[in-house]
Amino acid sequence: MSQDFDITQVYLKFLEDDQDMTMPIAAIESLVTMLRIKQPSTSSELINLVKSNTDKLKSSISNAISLSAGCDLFMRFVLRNINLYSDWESCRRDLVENGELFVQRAKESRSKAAQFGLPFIKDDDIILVHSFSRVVYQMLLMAKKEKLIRFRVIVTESRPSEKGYHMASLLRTAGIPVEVIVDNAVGYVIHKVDKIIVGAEGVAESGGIINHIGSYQIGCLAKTNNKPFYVVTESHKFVRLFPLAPDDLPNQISPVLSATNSSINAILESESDNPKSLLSIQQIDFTPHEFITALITDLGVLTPSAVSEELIKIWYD
Amino acid sequence: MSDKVNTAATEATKAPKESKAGESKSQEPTEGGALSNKELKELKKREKAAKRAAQKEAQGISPEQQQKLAEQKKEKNQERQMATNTNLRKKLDSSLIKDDNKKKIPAMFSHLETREQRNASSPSISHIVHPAILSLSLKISSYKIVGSIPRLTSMLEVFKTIIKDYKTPSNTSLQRHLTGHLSHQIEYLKSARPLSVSMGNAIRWLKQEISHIPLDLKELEAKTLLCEKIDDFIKEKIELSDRVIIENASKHITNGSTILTFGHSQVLEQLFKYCVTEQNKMFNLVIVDSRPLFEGKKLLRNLVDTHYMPGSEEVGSETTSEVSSISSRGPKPKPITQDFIKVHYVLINSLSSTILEDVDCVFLGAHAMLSNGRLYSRVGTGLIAMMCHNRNIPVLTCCESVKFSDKVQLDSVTNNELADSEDLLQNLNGKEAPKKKAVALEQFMKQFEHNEPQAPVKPTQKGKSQPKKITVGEEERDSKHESPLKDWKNIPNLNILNIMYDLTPPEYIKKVITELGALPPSSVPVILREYRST
Repeated sequence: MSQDFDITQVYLKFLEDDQDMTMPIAAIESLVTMLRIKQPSTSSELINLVKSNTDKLKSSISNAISLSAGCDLFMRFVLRNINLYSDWESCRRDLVENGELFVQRAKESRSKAAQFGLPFIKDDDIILVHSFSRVVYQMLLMAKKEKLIRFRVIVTESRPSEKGYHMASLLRTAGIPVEVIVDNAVGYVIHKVDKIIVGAEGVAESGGIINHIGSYQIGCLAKTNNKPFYVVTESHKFVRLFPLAPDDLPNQISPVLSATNSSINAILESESDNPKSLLSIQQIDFTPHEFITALITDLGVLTPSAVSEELIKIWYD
Repeated sequence: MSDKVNTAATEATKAPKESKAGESKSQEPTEGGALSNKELKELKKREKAAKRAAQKEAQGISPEQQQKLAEQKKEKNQERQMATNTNLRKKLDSSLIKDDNKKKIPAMFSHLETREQRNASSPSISHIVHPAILSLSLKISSYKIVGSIPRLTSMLEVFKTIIKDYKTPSNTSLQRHLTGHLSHQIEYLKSARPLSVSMGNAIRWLKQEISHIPLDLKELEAKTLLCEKIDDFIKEKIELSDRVIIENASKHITNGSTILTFGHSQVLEQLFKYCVTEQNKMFNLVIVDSRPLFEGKKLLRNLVDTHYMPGSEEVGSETTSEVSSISSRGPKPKPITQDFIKVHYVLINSLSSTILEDVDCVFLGAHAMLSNGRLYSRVGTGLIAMMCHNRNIPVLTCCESVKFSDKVQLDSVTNNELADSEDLLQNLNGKEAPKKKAVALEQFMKQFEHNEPQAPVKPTQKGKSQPKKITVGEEERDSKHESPLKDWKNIPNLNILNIMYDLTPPEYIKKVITELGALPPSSVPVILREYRST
């Protein structure tokens, strides 16, 4: 039974089953599932299994940044726990159990981060949101439902994925006044915006964020207009990466896009004489730490430089 | 006036003392009666001197002769005093050098210790200094060993020999005595050049290790334990750290990219070699260099001396000595600079022009990383970082955690190292690194010159054991090509400043690569905390 286990399938299934699940958690869950099924008999086998499956997962998924954050975190967790037990059986059992606990905690971290972010939203605010982010959505929802704060939201269209429309419709059903603008119009609205809130795919060691394309430009505009630029994210998205420029990001050069996105497929499939075929599409970019006011995480509100401290704490204690 | 003269004079004037006393008393009222005690004394002295002179003149000695005599006596007296003085040379050195050098440093830097002051203040403990330390300090002060990490490793190696040769005195224990013993050695080492931050960190660690040795351990065992610990330290904090840093940093060197570096840093040299020998990358390297140490030439030479076998797929990093044995069979090894690294060598003055146009990334070495995120490194680093930041070129620095310092410094003036000003004058044709000059020898020469002005000193070899650059210059150059700085010591208001380090503000540095990971300079305190806790 262990032969036909495909980590990528499991991973994609997790993501499909639960729309609320983020990539790092799905990765950890699928690794825990893998351990449960494969039943490794020695610790080195276990480590090798985790390693090979992580590599497989990373290589098969195109946008692997937050995914690799989850995998690395789990690997670290395995390595740290493996020495604690004398008896192998209990070790393996505990590992699977703790893995589940780990997933549980990671899931809770979203609402925790949202909780920390609530004081940042005030009455009469105009908040600019870029693309769709579950944690940003949850935070705005909590501000509206629990704190009864009255505020307005401007959502960018966020091409090419156009996830902004998804965000806008979710917010509208929650009763929050919302308006969608094209990405090019950020400069037009920025002067009346009070604050910018974005999510993150991953947080680099410098405290810069890897996020949906367009975040960098918004960050630059926010800085020149002296508007606070907040990033809401869970701490398991901290990655041991330090890109110097957006093109340092792994898997960035090849614009392999997920097959589920119809609008991009339409572009890609259009005839070659169509000028749109010249379009090159990027999905994510990197916003350096100097453009970020603060990171709102489940560990509290951090300055960008505190991220490396947290990362070092995770990896070297 | 010295005592001798005084006693002789008093003997001579004993007889007319009474009359003199009477005279002065009689004079008192005529001067107005307002004379204070001090003035009275002055008056008496003058009278006495006048009388003495008169007496001597009566004996047939003119006033000029008298003066000469007095001076001679004074000199004799001084000589005797010096002879009895134990640290005669020390006093001589410090007194002589201090006053003719103090003016020769710009007032802004006058608080820094000059090399001469360092040498003069070197303790008179050379008899208990281990010979290994003597040779090490000679190498360090002559820049044979230069750079924070090479200095640190050679110091630790020397400490190992010291510990091996060490014998605990009978009435004390190793844990208590060895630290002090080492302190003396370090004290002497400091006279060569001030300790680097990494050396300070390592010494602090070593002293702690010594104090942690269990009391019941036999001396021999304790010594071997310490030596092992030093070996581990070198391995863990330097060699392995460097490997991790190199692996991390090599990601930024891609095929076809252009990298700029300044001077010489051990870890960067290894990084460039690693990229070629292990990863077969081809890239361009711009080595920026500056006077007076020309460390970039060292990097260049070491790169040229690294060879690979052209035929084989994998590139081996053979040193020249190994290569010579291989070369008889198979294809001839080629230096890596031939096919893999294209090197530009420029001086720092030409940085502003087109050099920077297509540089992708700048790698800088470090002397220390201060806790406010500032980089303390070879002078010139700040300039390069600033220019590259201005052109949006990412500036990276590779720095082992042993170089991290919890000091905070806001400018490079308050704390710095003054190198010898002569280094800036020496080899203007720039063929070799400046030589160490022997202060004691120079003092001796100076005295010599005083006695016999223009004594021709024959230089044995160019610059070798020849402290006086001026004489070399005289021999080598025609008088019309003479450097205008030749006589700089005698030109008032002319200062020459040769400073070793500068500070680079954190906003110019994109990334600090350490063995604990890469981080922005703002996160340096995190590393410090981690480092202290381990």
